[in-house]
Amino acid sequence: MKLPRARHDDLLIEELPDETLIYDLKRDRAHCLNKTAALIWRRCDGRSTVAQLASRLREELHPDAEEELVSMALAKLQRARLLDDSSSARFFRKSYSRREMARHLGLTGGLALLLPAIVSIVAPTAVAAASCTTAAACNLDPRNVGKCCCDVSPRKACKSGGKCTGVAC
Amino acid sequence: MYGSRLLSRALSLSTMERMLIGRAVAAALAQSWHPVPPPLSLRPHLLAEVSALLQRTGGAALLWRRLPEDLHRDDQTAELHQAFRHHRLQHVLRERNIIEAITFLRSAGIQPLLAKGWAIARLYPEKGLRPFGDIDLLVRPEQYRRASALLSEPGAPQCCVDLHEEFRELRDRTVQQLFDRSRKVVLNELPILVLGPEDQLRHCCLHMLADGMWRPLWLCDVALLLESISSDFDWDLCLAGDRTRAKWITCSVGLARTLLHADISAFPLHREALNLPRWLVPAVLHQWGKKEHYMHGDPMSVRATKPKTLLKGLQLRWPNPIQATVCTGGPFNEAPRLPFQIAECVRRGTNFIREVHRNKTVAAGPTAPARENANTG
Repeated sequence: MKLPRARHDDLLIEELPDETLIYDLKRDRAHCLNKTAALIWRRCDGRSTVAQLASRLREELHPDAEEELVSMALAKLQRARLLDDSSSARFFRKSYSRREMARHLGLTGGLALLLPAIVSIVAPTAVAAASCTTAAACNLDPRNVGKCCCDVSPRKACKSGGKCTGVAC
Repeated sequence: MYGSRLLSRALSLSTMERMLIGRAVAAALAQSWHPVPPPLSLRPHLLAEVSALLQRTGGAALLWRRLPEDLHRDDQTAELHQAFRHHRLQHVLRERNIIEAITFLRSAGIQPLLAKGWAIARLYPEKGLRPFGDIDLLVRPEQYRRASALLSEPGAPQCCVDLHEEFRELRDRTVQQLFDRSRKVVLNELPILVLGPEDQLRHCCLHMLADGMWRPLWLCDVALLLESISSDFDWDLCLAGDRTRAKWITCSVGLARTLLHADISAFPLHREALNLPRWLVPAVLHQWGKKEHYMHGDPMSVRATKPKTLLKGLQLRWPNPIQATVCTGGPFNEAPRLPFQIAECVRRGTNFIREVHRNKTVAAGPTAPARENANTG
């Protein structure tokens, strides 16, 4: 079995105090990793085993961290396509929900926060719906046809052909 | 008679409700740009309303950081947290795009000046608090055509550059003056030109007013700029020119103080700034409390084809007093705003009809005059 290796190509990484944000430029997806998931992801160098990763987790995050936590994180990272394609083996065969996993590992209260989490970041629906388009975006994306060009004065609608020369809006 | 009384009562109730929500939006954003913003306490139902409004207008991340820690894990505020994360990544992504676009233009001997968006977002204490989409680049008028052609070439950076040869709000300043007064800031080791502080504040105020202040975030920008000015800020330069415009800027400063508790002690016309026309604050609050804005929906060209939505479209496009006054060049005084609103409606309506007619002519076929028109338009 190939050891897990973090993918680094075409990713935009932004570190925050409590989480790591990753934007996958290739797939146009964004993810938010909690501390546990981020730490494991950063340590996936293609040479470390699950046991070694768990040991690092115990050193750096919590002395009670177990190998199962690492396996769970790897499975999530794999699903989010944040591991190299060569790390294709399934690291965590048995599927647990976060709640089941917390119960299984006996994690309660604050310790449950130790569970790895990867959340997909999406543009808030309201924000996405709210945006009018711009002359540049009208030119680049045919989905903007019909929207109002907010940076053109007087305001005109984005026309097919990528120009803000439609009727006033 | 009884019916009209009921109707007027219902209308005033709806106005009051909007003002109440607008007031809550102002409370939610007050001093939210500070490095350590004051904690916020809003009633749950108001928080839900304000949260939805600010998500739609770009202020969600500012609201998020004002909420107490115990609310951070609440489902209701999860969307605000998501908005912050989204804006944060978008900020970093756009920084890359800015570097690409500026480097690309510079390699062709064109020096652009970056305005709005990042130029203001960089002043906030954290990336992601102030979302921005486009990259507004100003180039010298003689370089505009070449810059525009270069950016539409296949090898050009694939990002959303909005190229300008002038800013409509700063038409009373020459582009050369804007370049001469510009400042150099650094983005990931790349020096970038941005508007000088006096021009930037003027631009922000006039842009905000001309768009009817529908985004509360714009007043936060003004407040932040006011609190960031240094002792060598030249107020005479910022306010120079037409008196009406100077009064608009003075009122913007007053609004930043009145609604968002910005520190305006550096402003020399402190007293005048606080002497706002009586209609102005209610107009802002009413606008901020509105759940819909015409920028969110279909353009009129689409609505005009669906009679059911046409009326709604017209209703949404009724200009608010601020936009109507500024777009018709009117003064901020105690006179009623209705004449300005009517004048603005007529102006827009005429533009719309002219546009529809022009587009029909262009679409009708390759007649010589229509072609000329299309090519020069």
